[in-house]
Amino acid sequence: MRDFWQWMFSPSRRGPMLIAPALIMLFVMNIFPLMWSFGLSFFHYKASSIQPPRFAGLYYYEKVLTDPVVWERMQTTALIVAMSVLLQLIIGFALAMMFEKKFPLRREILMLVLTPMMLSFVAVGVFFKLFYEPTFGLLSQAYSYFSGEPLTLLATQWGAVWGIVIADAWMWSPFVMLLVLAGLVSVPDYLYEAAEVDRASKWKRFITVTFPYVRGLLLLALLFRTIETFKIFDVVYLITNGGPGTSTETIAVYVYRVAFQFFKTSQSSALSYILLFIVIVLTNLYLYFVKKRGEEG
Amino acid sequence: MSTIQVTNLTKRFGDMLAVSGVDLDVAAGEVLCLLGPSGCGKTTTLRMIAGLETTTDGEVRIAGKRVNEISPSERDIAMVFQFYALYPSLTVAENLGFPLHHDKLPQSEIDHLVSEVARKLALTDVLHRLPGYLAEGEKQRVAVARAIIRDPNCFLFDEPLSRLDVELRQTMRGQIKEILDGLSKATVIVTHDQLEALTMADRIAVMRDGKIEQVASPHDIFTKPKNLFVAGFIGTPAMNLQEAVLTGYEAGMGTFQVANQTVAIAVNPAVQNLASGASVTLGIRPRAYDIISEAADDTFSAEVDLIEPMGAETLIHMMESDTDVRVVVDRTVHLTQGERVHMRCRPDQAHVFNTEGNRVFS
Amino acid sequence: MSVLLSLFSKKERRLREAGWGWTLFAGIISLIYFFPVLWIIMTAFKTRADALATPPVFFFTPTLENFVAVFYRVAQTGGGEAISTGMGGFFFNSIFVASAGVFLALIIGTLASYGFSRYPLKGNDTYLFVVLTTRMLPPIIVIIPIFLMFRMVGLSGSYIGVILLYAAFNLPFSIWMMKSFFDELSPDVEDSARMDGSSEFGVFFKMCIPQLKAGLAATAVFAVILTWNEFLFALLLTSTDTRTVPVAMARTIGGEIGVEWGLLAAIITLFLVPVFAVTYLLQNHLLRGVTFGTIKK
Ligand SMILES: Nc1ncnc2c1ncn2[C@@H]1O[C@H](COP(=O)(O)OP(=O)(O)OP(=O)(O)O)[C@@H](O)[C@H]1O
Ligand SMILES: [Mg+2]
Repeated sequence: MRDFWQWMFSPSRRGPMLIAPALIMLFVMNIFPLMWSFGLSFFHYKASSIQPPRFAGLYYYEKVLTDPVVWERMQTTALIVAMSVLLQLIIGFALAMMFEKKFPLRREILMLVLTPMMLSFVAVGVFFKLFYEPTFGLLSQAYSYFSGEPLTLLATQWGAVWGIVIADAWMWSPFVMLLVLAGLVSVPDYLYEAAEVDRASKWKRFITVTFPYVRGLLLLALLFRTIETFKIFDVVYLITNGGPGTSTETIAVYVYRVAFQFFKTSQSSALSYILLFIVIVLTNLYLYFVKKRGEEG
Repeated sequence: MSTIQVTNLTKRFGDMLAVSGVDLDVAAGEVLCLLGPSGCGKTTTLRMIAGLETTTDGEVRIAGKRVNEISPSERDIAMVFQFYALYPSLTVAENLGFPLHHDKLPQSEIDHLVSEVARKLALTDVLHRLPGYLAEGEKQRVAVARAIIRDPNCFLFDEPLSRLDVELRQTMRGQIKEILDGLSKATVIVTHDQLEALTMADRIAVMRDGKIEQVASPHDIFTKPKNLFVAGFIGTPAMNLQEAVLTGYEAGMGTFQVANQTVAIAVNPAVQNLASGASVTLGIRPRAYDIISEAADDTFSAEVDLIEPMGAETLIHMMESDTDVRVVVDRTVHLTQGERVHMRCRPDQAHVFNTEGNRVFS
Repeated sequence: MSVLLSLFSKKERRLREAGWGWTLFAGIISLIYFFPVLWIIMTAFKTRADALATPPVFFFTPTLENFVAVFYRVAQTGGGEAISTGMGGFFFNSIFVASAGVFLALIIGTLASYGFSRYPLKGNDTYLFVVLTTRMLPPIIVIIPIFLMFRMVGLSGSYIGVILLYAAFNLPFSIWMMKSFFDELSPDVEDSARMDGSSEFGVFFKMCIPQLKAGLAATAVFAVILTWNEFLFALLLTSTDTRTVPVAMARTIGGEIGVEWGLLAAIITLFLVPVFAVTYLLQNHLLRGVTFGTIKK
């Protein structure tokens, strides 16, 4: 027994021993289920039926990849990602510039801006649903006050897309702000001073001194937010539920429908694997830049 | 004319008085070194001259014009920062050309000036590199080159050599001095390295706790320190400062009671104005002593405590009645620990400081 | 908690002083940004008539009736006595499930992060990448197979199932966060403790953990909030008994006619209290937290 403990805890085994519980847990709760669903994607299987699975080969992959609906959902997702992330970058940058100063109550005011990021998607969904509510929603009332016409934002396709984009960008601009702010405060004082002594204009100072310190973090923010927005589910589910029609149905909502409303388990598994591939590529890219930044810094 | 005048310059950070009542006057072509221990306010003084720090009180004049209310960019100065402050995203050539953009020079003119200054500081080979890929000495030269590329009113350096190794420091000291000599600009160099100050400066201003203690030429700072602080701060190994009692004065020779010994030492005639029995501090540099084989009226004796070879010379620590006396002798002089030796101070090498700590002289 | 703040108030560049004028400017902008949250909180204190008023009312007599209604409603039949809405139970579930899941994740995760940081394996980065990827995946593709598995083994709708899932959900986050803290800690202290004859357990528990108390607290609190806000897993894996607040909230807006906005706003307001507290306390860690420890400053 004693020998066994010694064997277990010998220095060369210490690393694996420490990591093992975590890897086991991840394997059981994440990796194995994923592999299992990978298996399912090659069979005809419906979670709602009692028929045993039948082998289907690449049938579902073929089906998913040639399905125009999937491509449509991908496009919807891409549109929302592009609009939202761009908006986040712009608002986040502007907010960061605002907080790159010392002023009384800065911490408390910063807190107001940071809160949205910490909220539950559900809460954010409710906020904006209330805002967009056609009769007494604040936005609708403001709109009709100025234009005289009622606003039913979520009834049109573009209105619904904007409705989602605004909610998501509102929630996550603070994230970009945090990253940019971190970049801004990491610019050494003496560089600004040198630029001042060298009589550089404001714009030149921004381009040569400020921007190089923010560039890397801006790229990370872009990638991170792209990955996260790509998964957008809760906000869409709560605000538009994919509507009107299916015009705001993102890929994540679509997978949810396929899996839990139509119970097309095999098809949803095949679709999952395609998403998984995309996320892995993006995550890899993100970590590559994180590492690069660490080596430079 | 390129001059810097500073009168009654004062800076407070909250309750802390960082710089208080500093007066300086730097003529065109003169190099003034601000020297002092860490935290004494050197950088703050320099930054106020540059306009990077507001003044609490006092006036800064550059080229005869009051500049207190003027931003650094309008003061027309060039500064070398302690951490060089090279723009990390610009190549060396772009860094060097950066200060010229304000003057809206044509690119060909900029290129010409850049290549000229690069040649002067041996940077031609690294012109297309980014600062991140430069050696420390090259970075430092880029910082200097960027400062001298244009024709400003004056130059300000904040510890320009502090990040270089000993050898590079020596060569750069000479090089900077040479360049500055050819430019006839008022220059202020901040340093805490006295060797740097002694070699580069036309005049040295010694600072302590935000105040200027003495401004004088390197020679005068060394040979005529105004007070105990300057005397102890300048010179390595530091000057021996011993408590003594003046017991008499006659024809240039003062008699002192030092560590239970009576010694006659040649001193400044002003010493005769002190009352007999006055407490004074005797300041004698370690290199001003000669080791003598026999005791005499004008010798002091002590026991060898520690021997520290320093290469060409040897530093001897001696003890007498709990006072430590340091003497530097040629390396050919051999002494052994515990040995009792006699030493004599060379003429005109002893300083007498009164109870206020000021040197007594006429 | 004040320890937590003082230890991590990172050294920032001396920011330019902007004074009270800027406080006013930033304060107004931030209040506008914060307005959706404020509006919900105001709605929570409004009577039903005020909440649905057109034009919207900004000044009103606050009432607590919505908060009472969160937990009790008047019985339709019988003597009209107050009966529980079950919301209290959902709040309990949210707290219980989040703390238990995070507790488990933190133990396993801290050990693993110590291993990753101090005893890197061959392919350490690959393991870390896999760990992070499991977290970056769209939750919807993780949940499909887990949903099926849980149904098969009968964990669906039980506390154990949800807690296990949340432990796995928080594990990658805990590992990356804690690793970023371990990486900042110089191993010299541990080595010198080893020289002085401390056992490996002693090194870990007496040297590392006390130094990382603040980091552990930050990670724990952050993970609790992430779990507290989580919606999709809870939607699919909880039953009436184990339902969490976000799911309950979503059901309140889910389609029925005449959403009880005042009631919903009251639930959200209660739900937000811990989020505010945490955002304030963790202000210096937010960046690290929201990027899963990949970006520190
Ligand atoms: N922005 C500031 N706020 C508060 N105190 C400051 C500030 N800048 C400098 N000080 C203080 O003023 C004093 C003088 O600082 P200064 O940097 O001028 O010293 P120094 O002589 O350059 O020292 P060193 O040789 O270490 O660079 C120090 O005690 C320092 O702590
Ligand atoms: Mg300094």
